[in-house]
Amino acid sequence: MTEKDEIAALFRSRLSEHQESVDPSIWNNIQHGLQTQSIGASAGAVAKTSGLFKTLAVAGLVIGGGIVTTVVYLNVVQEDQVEQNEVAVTPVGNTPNKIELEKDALLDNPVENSNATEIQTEPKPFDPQQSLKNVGIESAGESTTNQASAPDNQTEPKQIKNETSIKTTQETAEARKGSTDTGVGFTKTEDSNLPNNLSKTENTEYQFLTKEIPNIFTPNGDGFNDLFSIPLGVDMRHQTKIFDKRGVLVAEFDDRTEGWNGLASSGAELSEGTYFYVTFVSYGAKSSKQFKGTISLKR
Amino acid sequence: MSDQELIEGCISNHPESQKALFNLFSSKMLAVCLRYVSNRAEAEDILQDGFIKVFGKIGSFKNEGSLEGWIKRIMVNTALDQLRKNKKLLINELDENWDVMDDRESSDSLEAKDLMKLVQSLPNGFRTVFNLYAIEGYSHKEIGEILGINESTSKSQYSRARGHLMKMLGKVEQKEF
Repeated sequence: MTEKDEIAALFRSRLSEHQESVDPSIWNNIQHGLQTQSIGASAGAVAKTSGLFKTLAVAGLVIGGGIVTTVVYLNVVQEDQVEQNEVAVTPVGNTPNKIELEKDALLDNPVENSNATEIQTEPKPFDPQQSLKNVGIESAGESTTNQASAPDNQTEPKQIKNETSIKTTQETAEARKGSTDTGVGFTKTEDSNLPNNLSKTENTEYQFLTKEIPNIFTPNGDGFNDLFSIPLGVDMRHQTKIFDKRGVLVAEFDDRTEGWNGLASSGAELSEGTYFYVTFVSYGAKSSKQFKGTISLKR
Repeated sequence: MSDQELIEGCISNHPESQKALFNLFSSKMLAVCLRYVSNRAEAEDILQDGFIKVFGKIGSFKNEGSLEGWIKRIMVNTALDQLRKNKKLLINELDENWDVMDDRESSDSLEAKDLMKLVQSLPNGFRTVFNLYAIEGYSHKEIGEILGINESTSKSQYSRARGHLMKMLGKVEQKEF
């Protein structure tokens, strides 16, 4: 007991008054954030710096694992619903909300709950994530159940170190940025003879894929089936994550490459077996859809 | 400028007051944020979000406690939100790749920044509980409610976190481990 107190006291005494020098850019970001808030309270698409950071954080999460992926969308949806309803507690009494309330009550005594909602109702611009948001809404019901069981699975994706996920996050963000200028040429060609061709005005049903996503590929360099690629519809973009059986993210790719070559993000050759993929196909910010399945890797 | 003037200035959205408030507390608050995450970028993100909340909510600050304490609670909240959002409030995990610090210094020569590194190197679940209990001073019951875990889980998390910290400080206690 005394030892416990000693450790706690040591850390408390050294750290509770500790200060760290703050980069001046942070104030600029905050200022920017405040301005954005007052200008575009209802314009959810306005990009604000902290929003971007948040996006990064969320993107980092997506990398965290398959289950986690769905959960993130839920979070996004929750925020969205909160925005719409202007009520702190959104439907389906799921745990995070409960925790949020309890936490608010506990940690935030001086702040009235009504004010607490204000914070949550602030628009959280997820510009680049817009597509994810849409998907989240589509599968909101399903996600809710996932979320309930999430704690059981939480231990799985933790192997991914923070540093790596942050790094990958940045890569993803760059990827997003970059992919706006890169074409998706290979899809355009095969799409001219599609029955359900995209026309933005007459039909809201977009064709995301030209055919089913394959369930096997053989990255052995024989020139046949060496890549796992997503048969994208015209002008569609995609982002795909590959998870192993334990739910650990092992690789990801998007429409800037023709497909996945069976290598892990680290560059290591992955062993034969079954992997899971989660792929987001999006048509700009207008529409998007999530596809999930298994892919067998054979060499 | 007194705290009261500062607060009033912030309520009426005076940029100068806001900046003064930020300058007054940001260094300390960054240190708070840093304790909850493992890297600086994430901490700065939380600091930003936290201050935006502070300015948004400052009208509801009642002079019941200290302004600093109030801001700190918002920071801790924001940090927990962030961790929750990123599913980093993982409890019960034991990171196998977790390194023990090589250079074992005696606790007397340890400076705040070393201790900070130790806290940051803890797995997320341990770190959160350790921060809330040892430094913020919440009870295990409160922590249980905040994090949605059992009081006993909080206790065991804390004791394991403490064990790890002790190990890293080179203070391994044979009778306990």
